[in-house]
Amino acid sequence: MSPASRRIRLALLAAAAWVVASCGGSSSSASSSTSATACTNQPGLITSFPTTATTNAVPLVIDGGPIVGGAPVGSVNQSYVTITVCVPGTTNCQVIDHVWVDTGSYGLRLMPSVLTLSLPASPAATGGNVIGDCVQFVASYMWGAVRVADVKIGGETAPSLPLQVVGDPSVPATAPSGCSAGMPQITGVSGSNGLLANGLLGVGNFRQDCGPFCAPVTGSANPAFYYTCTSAGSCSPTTMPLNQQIQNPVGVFTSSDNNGVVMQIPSIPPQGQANVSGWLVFGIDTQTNNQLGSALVFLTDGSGFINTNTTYGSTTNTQSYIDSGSNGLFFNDPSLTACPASGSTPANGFFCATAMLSATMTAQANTPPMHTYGFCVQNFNTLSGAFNAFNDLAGPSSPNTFDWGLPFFYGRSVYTALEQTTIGGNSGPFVAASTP
Amino acid sequence: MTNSLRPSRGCGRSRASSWLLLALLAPAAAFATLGEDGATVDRDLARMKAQRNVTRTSAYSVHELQLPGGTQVREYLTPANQVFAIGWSGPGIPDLQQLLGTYFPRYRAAAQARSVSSRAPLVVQQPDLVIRSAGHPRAFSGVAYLPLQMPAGVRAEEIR
Repeated sequence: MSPASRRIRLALLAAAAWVVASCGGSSSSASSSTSATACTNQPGLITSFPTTATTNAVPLVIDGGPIVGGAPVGSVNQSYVTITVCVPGTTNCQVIDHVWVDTGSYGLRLMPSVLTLSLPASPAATGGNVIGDCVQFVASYMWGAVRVADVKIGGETAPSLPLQVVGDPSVPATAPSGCSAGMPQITGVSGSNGLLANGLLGVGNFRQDCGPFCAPVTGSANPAFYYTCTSAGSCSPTTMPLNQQIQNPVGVFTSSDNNGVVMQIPSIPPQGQANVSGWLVFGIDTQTNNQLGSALVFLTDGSGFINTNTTYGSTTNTQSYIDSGSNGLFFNDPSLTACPASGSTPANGFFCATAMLSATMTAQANTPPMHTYGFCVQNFNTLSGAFNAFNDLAGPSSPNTFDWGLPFFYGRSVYTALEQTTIGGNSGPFVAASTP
Repeated sequence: MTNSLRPSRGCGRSRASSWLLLALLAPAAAFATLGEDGATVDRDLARMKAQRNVTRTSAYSVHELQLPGGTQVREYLTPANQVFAIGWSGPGIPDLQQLLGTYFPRYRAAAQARSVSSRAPLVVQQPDLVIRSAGHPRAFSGVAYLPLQMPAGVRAEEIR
């Protein structure tokens, strides 16, 4: 890595997120150590998976992200796959690499600088209007238009999939205020306004990005999601029928591997690793490579929160979730020092503390299935700028919230089952994870 | 949302139709703002009973509103009717520019200080202002409160 790109990368890291090294711990809970002693991995994590590339399994990588200007954009703990997008019903297709796999959102979103195909507009666009689509994140958003494509991932096909083309010129460049809420806009692949990916592949628990909240009858026009935009550039919130909302492609696959996904990412050393190769497997209990086996199942609610909680120390976090799109583990522990603000620079959102910890995921308070997962927190300032994968990046969160981000995925099979499915006697939506 | 659509302060006529309009166009406009007088909230809320729930403790009152689209906002008012805390949860993030008012620039500064791709919770921890916002699409939650204006005996954990 050149000095220049390394500086950019470190700046991104400082501005964004991450940590080094690894974890261990086990057993009881919320014990922290002030020692800087390196963590050891929890015993029993999976070091390699027998999966091979096949119809329902595609390679997944955690690396520095897409190449822009000759160098990786410098992401940390973002997992990517390669997809193929086609004009519906044709062989006019485009391969897009480094699409971010996200179990915390729903549907495919493509960045404007990457997409070269001309895709047809949403069938919901009538009378010369365009359907605008918004997706909000904690402190940013993307705005664009709904278009339709045949999407192929490995040997799976989602025909005529409604998706978001970010920054589509058919909608006003400035998002409505109900979408932006005054937050920074994600407009490109790299840099300070970049997604650090060529697209976002939302494969979470739900079939649509908004679902019944935005549908006629069951919901109402929600300014955080859909808009009707006139040719004059005026956009108003609108309802959107379920089948015309942005769709999780997994639920649209024509094969039987359409009830969820499994992410299989091998464990990494405590000090981190430059690149990691794993698998994104489609379907759960539909093939030999996606068996639920002895994984523990945690049912989720209508928001995707684990039903009912994650217990950390004496705190019961009622809003806990497993999210590959979060690049750290985020939870509250006043005994862990958050990295402080410096001058006019606000805090970076990570812990400047080292600790070996654990937390218990519980499907129902103190009743099985429940399992205690050990993990480590490493001081942000000791992380190596040479690596892109860390299993102990962590930071503070909102009250009652426990976000099991990508560090949790290293060394485990993590299952995300769609709503309205039944798998092995479990009713979706649910998440499941191998033990330890 | 524009300031002109802000609460129905001074908008005393045609209540039903103006509320319908506000509900359709500017659902968050019914709220008071952090650090400001909550009197207008009471008046506004009285006009939309179906969407509010008010609970009171000896230290404060909580006005809980159900927004169109499924998001809930909770405003915490002192006995002197000052908004000292706000909490939210739901599939979308409410208009925090409206809810945070003069405190919003500090929230935005924190958002701009990090990578926009970050899914990490956004934390503002200052002597006079605490904001914690977390979640992912269809599942957001957060709190914002003014530590120096919290009624005596109220713990931060009570804000949600």
